[in-house]
Amino acid sequence: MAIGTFEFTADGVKPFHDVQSTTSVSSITVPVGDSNREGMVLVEGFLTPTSSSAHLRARLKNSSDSTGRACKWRTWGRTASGSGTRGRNVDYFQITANDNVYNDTTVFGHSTTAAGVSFHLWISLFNQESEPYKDVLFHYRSIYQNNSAFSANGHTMGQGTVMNGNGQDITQCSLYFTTGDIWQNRVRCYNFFGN
Amino acid sequence: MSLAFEENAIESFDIESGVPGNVTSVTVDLSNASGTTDGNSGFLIVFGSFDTNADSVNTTMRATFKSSDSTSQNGISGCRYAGGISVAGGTNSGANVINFPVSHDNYNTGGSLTGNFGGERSNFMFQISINGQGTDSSAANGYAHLSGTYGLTSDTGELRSYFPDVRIYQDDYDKKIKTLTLTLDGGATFNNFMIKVFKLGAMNG
Repeated sequence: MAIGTFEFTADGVKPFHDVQSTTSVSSITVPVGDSNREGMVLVEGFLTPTSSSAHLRARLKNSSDSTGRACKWRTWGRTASGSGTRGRNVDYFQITANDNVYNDTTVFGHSTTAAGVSFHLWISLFNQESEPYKDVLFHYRSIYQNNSAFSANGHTMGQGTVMNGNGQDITQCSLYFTTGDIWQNRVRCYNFFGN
Repeated sequence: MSLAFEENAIESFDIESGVPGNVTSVTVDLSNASGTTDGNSGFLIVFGSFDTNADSVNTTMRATFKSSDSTSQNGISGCRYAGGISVAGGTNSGANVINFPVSHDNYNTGGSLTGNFGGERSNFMFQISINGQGTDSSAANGYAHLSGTYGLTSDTGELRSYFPDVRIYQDDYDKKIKTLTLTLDGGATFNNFMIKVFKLGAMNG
């Protein structure tokens, strides 16, 4: 289903993008904006890394960009690393603060999914850069297993904005870990609020 | 109730507003409109508020996810939760039951010092995504993620607010979350419970 279109059921609108895979990939790129590049999108997912020393990051970009648009962002929460983190004028934002997302597949009796990170990422889009400013904004929450210790889990919330003047033409969100690949993944994108 | 669209908004899927007396639990059906299919909900927002039966009761609000399969332990089998204070693992409290506190402190949740109905109210808002594994055993493992805020009113009338995130593992294929039940421990009961369930995302109607 194309982004910006809706398929209604008796219980709500279907996601315009719905993927899952057990094949390792270096990154997952999902659509978040169409030619209108407006509205607000929810990206929600569950990713497990192949490495146990990986932070989850996201890039906002369009299809012709080789990397993400510059962002300014900050996180806080009860992180496993003990503090939040921030970035300015970098091509990504960090969904798991400075925490590693554990990749062990046999922790605490959960045969396959004890590790990994799940998240809710809201992205508000605009397509014009004339005054008054129409910024691209993002807010997110995540929870994840940090290492094999039962108590060493992480919990992050963060928010930020795309910095540069051309940042409004965002159409894609790319998810990746700082080390290794994405092992298992599930990602869905909704546009409850137009696009 | 089926989803309906009004002039300016989506009609709320379900409103359990008529619970004026004391109740020990409130269960929210997270399945589809017919109530027969688990896990077809994609994304929901749940708002609720309440006061408790007595000012002197120390209590913790707990949330329990269940699937309709009461025989297998593998359907939804664990969780991690965080409330802004600590992060820990949840426990299975029965076959396909995940029970975790959404408050980490006990407070007198009455409002004896405020002396008015509004001042005694506690409240919460949960955003819940449900992304189960489905019937394909080779598919990536499923999960549900609850993210929200809640505030419990203490006996001084202050609101103690937190921001829980919870992940439920739906390890086994085709075992998916059907209900969310809220309870108070310590012998407390909900009073004048109000809840709204907005079912925004769905996989099937």
